[in-house]
Amino acid sequence: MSGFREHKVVFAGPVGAGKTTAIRAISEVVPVSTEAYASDQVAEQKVTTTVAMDYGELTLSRTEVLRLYGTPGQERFAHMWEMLCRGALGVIYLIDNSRPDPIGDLQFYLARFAPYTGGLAAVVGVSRLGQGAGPTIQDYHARIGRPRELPIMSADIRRGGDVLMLIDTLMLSIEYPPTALGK
Amino acid sequence: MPTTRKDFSISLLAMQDKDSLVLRSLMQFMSDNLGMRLRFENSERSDLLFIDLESAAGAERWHRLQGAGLFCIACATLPPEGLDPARWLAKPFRGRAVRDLLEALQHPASTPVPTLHTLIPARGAEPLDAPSPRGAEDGFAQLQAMQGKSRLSLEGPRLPLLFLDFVSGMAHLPTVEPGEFDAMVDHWTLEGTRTSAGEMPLHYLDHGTRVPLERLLWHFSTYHSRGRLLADLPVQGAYGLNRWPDFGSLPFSPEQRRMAAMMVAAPCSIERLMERCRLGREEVVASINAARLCHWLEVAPVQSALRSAASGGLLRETLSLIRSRLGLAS
Repeated sequence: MSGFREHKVVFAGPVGAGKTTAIRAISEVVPVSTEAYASDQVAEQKVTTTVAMDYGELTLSRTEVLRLYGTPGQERFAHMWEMLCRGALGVIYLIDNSRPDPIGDLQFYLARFAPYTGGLAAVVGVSRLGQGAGPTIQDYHARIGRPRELPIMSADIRRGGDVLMLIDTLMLSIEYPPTALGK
Repeated sequence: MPTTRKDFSISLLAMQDKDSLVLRSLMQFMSDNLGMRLRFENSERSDLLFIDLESAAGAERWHRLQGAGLFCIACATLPPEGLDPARWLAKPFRGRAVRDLLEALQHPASTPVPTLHTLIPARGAEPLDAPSPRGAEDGFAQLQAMQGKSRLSLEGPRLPLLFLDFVSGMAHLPTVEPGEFDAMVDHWTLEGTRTSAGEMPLHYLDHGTRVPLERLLWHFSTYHSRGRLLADLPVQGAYGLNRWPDFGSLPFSPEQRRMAAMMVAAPCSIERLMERCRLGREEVVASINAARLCHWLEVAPVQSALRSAASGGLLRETLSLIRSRLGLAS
């Protein structure tokens, strides 16, 4: 259809971080999940896992739609990551702070997605913060070293309001990119 | 002069895990404030036995232990008939009742001192009134005094013992249940607070709760600033942020999030932030003060030209559509 515009937001992160849940929280259509029974070490964390992608959408107007994609968390599906990131407005990384090395997880995904996301806005949502002795948001900023470029937020992905907060932050970081001033 | 006792061993008997956790947390929290030391154990020989009368096991223990010369407290929704009210603790447990009980134990013959019920307000309690001019002044002076500190202890009539660690960005407080902190913090004020430098209380290592420091500082700043900038901040300056605040831990509105995003992008004047974000001066100034205390603030002599990547274009329209569709401020 002529004049029809599509926009895309991608949710990325390790297995079990809440990508499927986040999309379900805001999609206006029943999300499509390509889940399969986990057969490797993932099975220790959850019964099913996303093997290709999750998909949800939000109609913006008669001629515009926002598509929400969740990338498969396992690295063996990394070939999907580039495809899903192509043309995206930005990426929301979801990190589970109760995993053994959550900052390492974030560093891994930032590095692996870098070739496909150059110049794209990004936001990090950290779930299960404050449970146990996991790192703080300050620890994340200290290790990642991009406190003005990369918003890192605590978020309870089960709550729709927190998912909206992450999307709003992504929109704001697109609208107001950091300038060289004050760096 | 009545004798004062500060050390007690305590057992919670026949109590469900959830009730036990709540009561234990409240007692730890209140005892810290009262300067008491409580040792929790699981024994019928403790100084104080809290028994849940609403379980069959609790009723049995109550009847068995009451007559054994032990100090038993009945935990029940309604006061048991014929029981001294001083031996009853109402369920569900409330901070004020726990505090009153602990005070009565600590000063058995004294007139009760005013309670600090504002530390844990009853569910549904009204939020804080506007501070009195004197109280606000007092609290603002405490805000000023926090500048440049790396570690600080605070304690006051409307505040539990807090240890603020500006280096790690965390605040330490007595143990509270998950979710209780958010209900409490908005009732805390800095009026009459005593501050001291030093190390974190040792018992906070085992029994304390840690929360992001910015949550406390934003609250104190919002309550006490009343439109006044901290002393060394220029009224005509432009203000930026050196990092994104954690919107997940701060009760920010979409307008406040926009303000933060603008400040991360480039230093802005107070007037521009008010205009672009549709915020009042008091809200903007309170956030600037809080950011200063968190060590996130950058001050520039003049406002830089704030570039909006999306200004005037299709992208801006799209972002506006998405926000509108999600019910967020545009």
